[in-house]
Amino acid sequence: MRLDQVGLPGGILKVKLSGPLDIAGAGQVDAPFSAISSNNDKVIIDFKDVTFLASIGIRLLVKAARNIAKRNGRLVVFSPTDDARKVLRSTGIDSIVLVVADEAAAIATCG
Amino acid sequence: MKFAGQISLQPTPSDVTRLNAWLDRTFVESRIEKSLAADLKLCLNEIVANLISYGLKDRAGPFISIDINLQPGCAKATVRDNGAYFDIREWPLPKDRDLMSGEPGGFGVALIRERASRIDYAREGEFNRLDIACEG
Repeated sequence: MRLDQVGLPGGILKVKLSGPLDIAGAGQVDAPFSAISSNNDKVIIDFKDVTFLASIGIRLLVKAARNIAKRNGRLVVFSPTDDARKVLRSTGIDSIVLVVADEAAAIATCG
Repeated sequence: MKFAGQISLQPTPSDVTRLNAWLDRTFVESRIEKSLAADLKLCLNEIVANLISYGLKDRAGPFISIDINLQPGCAKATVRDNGAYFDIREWPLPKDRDLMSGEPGGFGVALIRERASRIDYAREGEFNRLDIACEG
């Protein structure tokens, strides 16, 4: 799993995840993802190229959302595949992590 | 098209990667419905992840074997392991949880029970045997 990040205007950090977010992929991005959620208040995550999402990826998002919420920040996921969206919905995580259709909506939600 | 196959794994993240590559190839070859393939893959990932984190943790000589059987409308798997007794059907699901507090666990078991149409479990000597079926 690959993690790329880029700063956007308005103090927003865009994180792009690419590859499977299974137990192997989650292990690869756990530390950088934790650091990102500790140091940024507005984070949008591009899920378009997340090819598979397992519950270990949900745990990763929950931990990040909690971290950011402590500072009244916001974590937004955008462009998940249909399969990933189904997992996000059925685990109930969409109650604490906003899931939106595209990057523009994610920025608007964070801004 | 019908397909049957078997894979043996070690309880490691790299072997989950190997499992997923094998499943992806198998699903293409068998032409199983995509929704059933997605459900079975998710269930197997959650089962093996549980074995890595709990059932086979620190176990000498760990053993995992997965048999799959695919046919139109039905994707089945049998998982055998020599880990601790664990009947997934008995595991209580978290109710009305507050995701902002507490241990963020239990998602995997909930996903398996949601995606699998049938789950059977047996303890056979030192082995767990878990049968799951995803049906369309």
